[in-house]
Amino acid sequence: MMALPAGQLRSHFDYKVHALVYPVLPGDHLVIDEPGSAVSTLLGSCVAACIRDKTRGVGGLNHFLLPGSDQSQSSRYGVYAMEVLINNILSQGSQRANLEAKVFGGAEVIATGGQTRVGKKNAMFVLDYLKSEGVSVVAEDLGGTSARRVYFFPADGKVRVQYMAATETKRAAEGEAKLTQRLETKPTTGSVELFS
Amino acid sequence: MSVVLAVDDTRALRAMLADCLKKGGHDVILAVDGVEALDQLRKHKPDIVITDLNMPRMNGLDFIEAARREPEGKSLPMLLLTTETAQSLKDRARAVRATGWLTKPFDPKQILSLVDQLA
Repeated sequence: MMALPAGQLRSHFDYKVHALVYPVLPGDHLVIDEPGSAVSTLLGSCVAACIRDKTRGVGGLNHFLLPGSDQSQSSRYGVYAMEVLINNILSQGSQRANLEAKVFGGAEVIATGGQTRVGKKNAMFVLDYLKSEGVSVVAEDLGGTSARRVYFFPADGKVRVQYMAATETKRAAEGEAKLTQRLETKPTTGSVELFS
Repeated sequence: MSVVLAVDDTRALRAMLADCLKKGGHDVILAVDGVEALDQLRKHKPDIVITDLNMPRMNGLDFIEAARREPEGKSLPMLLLTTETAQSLKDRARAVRATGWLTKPFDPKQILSLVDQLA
């Protein structure tokens, strides 16, 4: 997905943060270049990397999880989610050296799948990935047992985190369970096109 | 068994590709961008190349274009493995005589079967 042309993406004015907010759903990502606006997502055991170019104020977030128990299989989704977000920011003319990250999520919410420590697995992945790619993590809020609503303002890097009550946490867990089920039953893979 | 040159600026991607290809019984040579890949191409004469598109210094399309001018790259199968899907980029890939276009996230089985088919 390209960075804004604003107006082409679904946004709403959010009175909690007094800003135009672009929501990001589980499994998706979004980059914006619009001072004063935020990207936002609701995280249970999923994680979000909020990444911005600190010199240009362009940035966005992803929302992903690592499905299943096969480490190398599930990592593919995480690596993909991180790469599309970073590539999208770099395609706006940013340099990798100017990127900084804040990471959120990875709570142990009551998952319908009955898996344990899913949140921790997701949290460890995002920290390891950013370390291995040399992107500095300037803030993190990971773990716990409550879902979080994250608002990220790429222009100045500010983040507002709202911890959710039990009802919203349950809703986040259900949404993520659906994503897990979708990825496990119908794995997302790329396409192949041979030219000759 | 083939010698595969895998090119990607993302360390995690290089590690995953290397892991997948080694499990398939192949020898893997890695490069972080097009400049390093050209060097590895001349040195190791791989049987097939799998390269990312967006990379610093030299991107995957420029690398393939340059590699086609090398004796080692003239008729070498060279696949792009990318998050990009734009038709304009695919057209450029055809123009520089890339062998094919794969989109991420990659399926290890698919990669191995393509290597078997093309290398």
